[in-house]
Order: sequence, then structure tokens, then C-alpha cells
Amino acid sequence: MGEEAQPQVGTDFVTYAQASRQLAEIQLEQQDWSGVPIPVVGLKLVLEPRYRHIGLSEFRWKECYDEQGVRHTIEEEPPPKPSEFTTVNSWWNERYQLTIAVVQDKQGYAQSRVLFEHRLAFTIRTLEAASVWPVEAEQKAVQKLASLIPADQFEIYLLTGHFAEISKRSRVTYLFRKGRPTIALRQDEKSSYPLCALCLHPIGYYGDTWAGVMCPTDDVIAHLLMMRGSEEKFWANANQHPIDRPAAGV
Amino acid sequence: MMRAVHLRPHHLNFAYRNQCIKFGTMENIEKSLPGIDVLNTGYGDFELRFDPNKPDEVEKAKQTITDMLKRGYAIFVRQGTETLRVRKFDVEKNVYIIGSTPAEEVPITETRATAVGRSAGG
Repeated sequence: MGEEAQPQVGTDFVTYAQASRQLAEIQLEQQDWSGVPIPVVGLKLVLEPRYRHIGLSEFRWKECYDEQGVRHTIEEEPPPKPSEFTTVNSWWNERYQLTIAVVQDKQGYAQSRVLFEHRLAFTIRTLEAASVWPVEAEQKAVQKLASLIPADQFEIYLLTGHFAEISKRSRVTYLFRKGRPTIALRQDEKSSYPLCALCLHPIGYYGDTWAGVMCPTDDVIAHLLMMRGSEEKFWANANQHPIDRPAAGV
Repeated sequence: MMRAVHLRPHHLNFAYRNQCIKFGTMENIEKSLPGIDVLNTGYGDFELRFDPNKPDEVEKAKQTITDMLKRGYAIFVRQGTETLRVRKFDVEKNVYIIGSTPAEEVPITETRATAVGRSAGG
């Protein structure tokens, strides 16, 4: 008997990005036009509640393989123990850059809690999520964006990952950013001040990151089209983060 | 980092086929043809094109547009310098309806629309 063929990287084993591409191809045949979000180990996949594959948000990988084809088991994190406290109220403290929460125990006694959000942790988790984006998908999205905005703006986007556009309807300035929420600004001749950061992703996103399930320039295109074609829906559907919160990505 | 992690395709619970999609006129996309670009996780921007002179392709495009709107996709079309969101699709007249007057109708054969799946605030 001949030796068993060694599993090959790229065919028998695929990366997240390759899986994303292959699933998109398969699902297109079934008229599933947006592709399929890929769960990432260690990140929470948050999907639009009416999305047809909503069950993927509960999916957990059980094993993975290194580049030599060696199998590694992925331990599932135990579910968090139910807390004996319930949150009564919470608010963002601008001065100390943290969230203060008031919690109550079962006897009704109140206590305060301090919650930290780390910008660096957001960045690192976003880098982990980036492994699901096929590079070719981002390249195609960039081509598409080039057809939607003026050439000078597109050059700025290529150089900095940002470009700005003023809404014809509201005169609000939007600063679209690759891999970060869009910043809404009110500008006049003398000054400008930020309104908030608008965070929105087609289909879904990875919790506590700036990453959507689609590649970053697709998110930018979605923001741009919604701002131009349905500004009120853009504001209604997006999470509006105060500009100094880590989630705003400033 | 995580790019070095490899997964077995069958763990995704979908059939695996190492072949490329053939959809309508995808093999020879004519950039001048009308159609819809769909934002897609694996493709970035997936282009569906149809030839307005081929009734079967037009019929397929109509079915796709109807299906997308039913599933909650936001479809955007350009009219002049404006980008507008499609409210409805008139299957009889083959037009995107973007307002309440006949002037606010865009024939599907004269535009390239962009479709975005339902969105979640992040």
C-alpha cells in the first residue's frame, strides 16, 4: 500500500481568508450574495439579528492545524459565571477616560465599579480579526471605491486611509476612515467640532474591535453610500460613539 | 499571527469544492453592461452583470433584485451626481423606484447599482 498523501496547505487546510473566499463562492451559487462571515477564535462574532446565518455567532472552532499539518485542540472558554450584581446605571467619565458603573447586589445594596477600555486592546483584537479578510477582496473594494469618489479624494485615501465628504443634505462633514468608525463633524468658517463616531458594518462585526466581517474598504463603501443615499438610516443604524471613547478609534 | 492557523474546510459545515463560480455572464464581464455590485465578504465587490438584449439574463437580474430587496439589502443607484437608495422595484416596468413620481424611476438597464447587506451597528 502506498503512503497516505500528506494534507496540503491551501487545499486540505485553509486559512481564515481562504475559507472566506471559498465559502463566498459556494454561497453565491445559492444566491447568497454577501458571502459568509467567518468566526475567529477568541473573538465574539456579532451579526445583524435578521441575517440568515445568525447561528454562526454561536459557532466555536474546536481544532486548528499549524503549517506542518499538526492538529491543535482549541479549548473552549468556560461560560462566565452569573453575576450576583445587576448594573443600575453607567456613564463615561471624560476626565478620567473610563466608565463608571453603579451595581446592586441581591440585597439591594449599591456599589460602584470602574470599567476600563483599552485602545491598544482594540487595536490588537482588530489585527486578529484582519486574518479573515482576503487581500484580493480588499483590492477589489478599493477599485470600487475609486469609482465612487473624486480622484484627489481617492489619492488621499490611498495615502492616509481617510477621506472627507460634506453631506449635500445636512452639511455635516464625514471623515471616512479605513478600519475605523466614520467621524461626523460640524464645520463652519471659524471652527469645527466632532459630533460623534459612527460605527456600522454590513452583516456583522467582531465585538470589541473595529473590524467588520467584510474587508475594511467595503465598510467604507457602505458608510459612503448610506450617507449619500439614506443619511437618516445611516445615523439610525450606526452605533454613535462619543469621540473620546476607545470604540471611536480616535 | 492568526494567518498561520489553518482550518479544515469541512469544519465550516458547508460543502467544499475547489472550483470557481460561474454566474450568468461572470466569465466574460463586460464592464459597460448594467448590473449590480454586491459587497461580499470573500470578494470585496462582487459584480453581477446582465445583457439587456438577452431576455433570460434580464429575467435573472429581475429575480435577483426582487430577492435582494426581500432580504433587506440596501440598493443604491446613481442618478446624475446623486446617489439614491432604491425604495422598491417595479417588475413590470423593470425600473428601480427611488421616489413617488415617474421622474424618480431608474431603468435597471441603464444603471449599475450597488447592494449592501443588512447592517449592524458596531
